[in-house]
Amino acid sequence: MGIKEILTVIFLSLGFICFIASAVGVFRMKDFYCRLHAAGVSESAGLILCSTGLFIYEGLTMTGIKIFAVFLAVFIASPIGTHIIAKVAYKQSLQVETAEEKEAD
Amino acid sequence: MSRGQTKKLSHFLGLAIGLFAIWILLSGKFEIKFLLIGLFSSLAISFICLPFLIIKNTETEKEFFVFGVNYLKFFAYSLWLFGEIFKASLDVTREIFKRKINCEPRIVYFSMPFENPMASVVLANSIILTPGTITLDCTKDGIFEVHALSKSAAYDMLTGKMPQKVADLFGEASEFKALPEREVTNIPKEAN
Repeated sequence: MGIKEILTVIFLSLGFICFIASAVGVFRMKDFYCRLHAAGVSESAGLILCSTGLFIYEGLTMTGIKIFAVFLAVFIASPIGTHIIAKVAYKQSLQVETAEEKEAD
Repeated sequence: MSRGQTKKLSHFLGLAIGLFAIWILLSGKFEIKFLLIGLFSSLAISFICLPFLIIKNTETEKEFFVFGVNYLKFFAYSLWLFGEIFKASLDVTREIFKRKINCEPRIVYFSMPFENPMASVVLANSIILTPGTITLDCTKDGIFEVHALSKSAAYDMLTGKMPQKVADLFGEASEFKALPEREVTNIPKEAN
């Protein structure tokens, strides 16, 4: 096993840890906005780590550049979805649970 | 040719070259026939799409090209952003795997008026990409409403480091200002 494979395995495993963390977080967080934060871990850090691993494995070939293009597209487009969901919830005045309200209870 | 026309032509050529590169990348064929088809279609598409990629500031009517950024600066900014993303992800992951989750979500407001609409887009996108902060709204006068997962995330947001970086990236001289409470109001006291 060369150094390339070892690096690939390391990056992909770190990426999978991010994905697992965000899946667990979506279940464990308490309100809607916090769940969005948990989902954000996979779509930024998880995506960067996984695509870096795949890019190292492929090298600077046609497939490698295509992986980079996919990474760019998802990286630019995924925050828009998160923003739209959060904005609609906020404008429909879905209540934001805050720290001070918790203290008041 | 006037200066505006030269600028437009360079935008047109840049867009066409970018599209042609994507064509070559996705087809992977280097025969003359395919290259010619790609060349003509990329020229036609950039001719049709160029007017849509020039956006106006709603107040000053000044025009900006969407991809008109210094690419080297943008690359440096992306690297910095990756670092921030990893730091923030570590915080959120630690929060998720705690035995009892005790995060303190809150909404913070700040104002950062940009002349270039793309700067607002880049700032809002970067805030969402950093785990722990989500842009809820961004108004025309440059007021951002940000939902922060924890006290430290809110505090980091209100130091104004990221907006300053974006302003440097687009060469704008706007001033960061953390806003005190509006409506829902939950800004931590030490952040003011």
